[in-house]
Parts: sequence; C-alpha cells; structure tokens
Amino acid sequence: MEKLQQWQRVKEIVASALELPAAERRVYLDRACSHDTALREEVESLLAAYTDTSALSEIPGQLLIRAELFISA
Amino acid sequence: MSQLPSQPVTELLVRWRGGDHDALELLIPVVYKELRQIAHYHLQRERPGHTLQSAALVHEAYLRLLDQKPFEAESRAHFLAVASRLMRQILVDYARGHAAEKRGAELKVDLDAALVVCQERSAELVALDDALSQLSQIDEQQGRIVEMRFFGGLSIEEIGDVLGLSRSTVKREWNVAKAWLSRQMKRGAHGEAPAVAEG
Repeated sequence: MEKLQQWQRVKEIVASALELPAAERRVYLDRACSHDTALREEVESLLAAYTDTSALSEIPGQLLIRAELFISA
Repeated sequence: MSQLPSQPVTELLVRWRGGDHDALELLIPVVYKELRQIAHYHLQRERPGHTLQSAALVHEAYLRLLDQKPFEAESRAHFLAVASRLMRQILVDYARGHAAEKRGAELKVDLDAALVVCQERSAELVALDDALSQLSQIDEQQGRIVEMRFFGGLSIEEIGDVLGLSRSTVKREWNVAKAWLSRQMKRGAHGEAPAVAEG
C-alpha cells in the first residue's frame, strides 16, 4: 500500500514536470519533492529515462510494418 | 479511423453479448477493416504513398476473436482496444517462438514469414512485453494505455474514450509509462531486478 502511494506521488510529479519547460523543472522539483531524497531520485531517474524513449516508440509499429511489407510482397 | 459509423458496431456488440453468434460474423469484417486502417497508418508513416495489404497479423487477431467468449465491449473503440491486446499477444508469441503451435499449416507459413522479418527486433519486443507486464502490476491503467497505443495504434483520444479519461490525463499517464518502460528495459538488459519506487 505504501508502495502504491509512493508510485502515485512519483507519477504525478513526473507527469507535471514533463509538462513544464525544462528551465522551470528544477524549481518545481525542489518544491514537489521537498527534502524527500528517495522521491527525488526516483523522479529524476524517470525524467532521465524519458529523454531516451525515442527508440521505444517505434518498436511494435516497426514490427507491423516489416511483417506487412513482407507478406504483401 | 473515425469515418466508420460506430452505431452498428455497438448494436452488434450487444447482440453478440446476448449470445447471437451471427453478430460476431458481421462484426469481424468491420474490425478487420479498422485493423487494416491501423496498419495503414503505420505504413504511411514509414513509406508515404504505399498502399500495402495487412494480412497474417490481422488474420490471426480475427481467428483469436472467434475463439474468445464474448467480452464486455461498449463501443467500437473498446472493441479495438481488445483487438490491440490480441495483436500484442500475437506479436509476442511470434517473438517468443510459440506461434507455430497454435494454428494450422496455411497460416503457419504466413506467421513464419512474418517472424523471419521480425527476428532482429524480437528480443526488443520480448523485453518490451516483459516490462509492460511489470508495469501493469504496478499501474494497470498505464499498462492498458501502453498496450492500446503501442500494439493497437489507438490515438490518445480513442484511448480516452475507452478508459473514460480526459485527453490530458491519458497523455500524462502515457508520458510516465514511456519513461518507466524505457528505464525498465535498460535495467532488464543489464540483468537488474525490476524496481518500484522504494521508501
């Protein structure tokens, strides 16, 4: 239950941070995470991962495309 | 995908749920067309101007729908969401190499052909599927959003319709889910255990 509550907090903060211009994120995170370093680390870790999701977005789409190109050839 | 009337689908879904097997016979061609449109959307992004046929994947989804008991689907978008899940299962079955056991010889040829093409990406697909299963345990709603978006090609708006959420909420959840999956797939690649926020 505690984990679930923590996840709710983490995802709210991450989602809100992503809606802000990059320049405003630090101030927001300072406020939202207060002195909770574990929370801050988790949030920062996800924000870092978000910047590297470009490869992820194409995986199944690419599979569909390739399968269809092959089958229809 | 929105140019098809949604009302007949809704009626057919109600009839199917009520035990009318003929309704599924009528429903499936509509779904087939929609799945083809999803595939076409992917194709257009990749190679503009090409009009290529989808076949084995959609066909397999179709057959699995026939095998299923009627499920609670209130709308066209919801039905497509279920079809998305089937397409995920099919793609992952390929990648894991179990697809051949499930179907007859004719389709097996198509599936094998698709598998050859998919092989270089299959490790990624399996990693994604594993990560997505873990995410669903932590956050079922995010899991469903990812499934519909990645595997079904549903738009943010359509996912909102299915789940009864606003567009902005779906987008927020989607963003966080992508970040979580990306991190989880990297950890998986390095042999680390899945992790939720501790503390």
